[in-house]
Amino acid sequence: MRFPSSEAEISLHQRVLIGDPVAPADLFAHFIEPLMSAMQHDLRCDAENATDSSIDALFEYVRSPSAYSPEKGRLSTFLVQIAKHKAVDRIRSRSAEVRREQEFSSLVEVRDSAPNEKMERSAEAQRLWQKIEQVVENERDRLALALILDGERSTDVLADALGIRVDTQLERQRAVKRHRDRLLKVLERLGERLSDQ
Amino acid sequence: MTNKIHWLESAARRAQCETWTLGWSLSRLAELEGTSCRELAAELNCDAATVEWLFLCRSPSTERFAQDVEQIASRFSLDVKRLAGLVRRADAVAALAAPTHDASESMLLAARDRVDDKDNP
Repeated sequence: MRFPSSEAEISLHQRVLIGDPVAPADLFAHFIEPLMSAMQHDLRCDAENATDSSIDALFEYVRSPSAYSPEKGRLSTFLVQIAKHKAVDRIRSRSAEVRREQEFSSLVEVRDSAPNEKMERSAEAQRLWQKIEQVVENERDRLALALILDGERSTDVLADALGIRVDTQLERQRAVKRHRDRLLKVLERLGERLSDQ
Repeated sequence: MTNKIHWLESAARRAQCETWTLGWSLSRLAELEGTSCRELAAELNCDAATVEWLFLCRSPSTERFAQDVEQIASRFSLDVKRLAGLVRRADAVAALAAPTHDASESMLLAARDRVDDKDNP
């Protein structure tokens, strides 16, 4: 499940550019599996997201192949970047959907007459999230915090959520760690304040 | 292998939304004729997975039609004449659909012009 050689990539890119009818199918044959594998390895996203994001990335590239400049780097790197953005977008919209569902379910449960543990947990989570929204004003910070609370550990996903744009992986890791520590500190302070009340 | 089949199905489904693909034109033909992917495969004397691969190809251009069809047929070991016939039918469906759309649009424009003329004599 390796990406094709640099020479093979260039040759495929040329074929896509000239409108070779078989080139898109060959592109899928050579790139989809390494792309899906990279998505699952780097972002730890599920198989469905890895598949859909990789497919989206390949179609986006074939639609406008001139967006890729061979002198800027390898085609595989370019495709991984597109696929990662697609995957992060999916994670974001899924997180937002889950939050909306939780809010909706807690509202529905509040309307039910019989209180139960699940409802209390959901209502409590909603109250806590409202407190977090009061303390954490920046939307990107809130998104990153939601991802962290959701168990997200990928540096790239968190960097994307926080809008961190740095060149090297090491710088990205450091910046994400700094933001993660800061946000967890905010949570810690909020927890202390709430327990004092 | 299961994983491969899974992505191929998804990619072929997704290709039906891209107007440059054979998936787009062949799926419209199948829709109009009420045929399935399996029936397309039977017509081309190949399996359903090969039809899914075909869906990922770029539609042959009008300028290099014979050359493009030959290239696709050779890549997937298909009969050139059968494939050419199928693609021609798909092109005919697309061509029939396009003027209908244009005609209804121009009729709407003409109607709008008449309304404008009445408003501003």
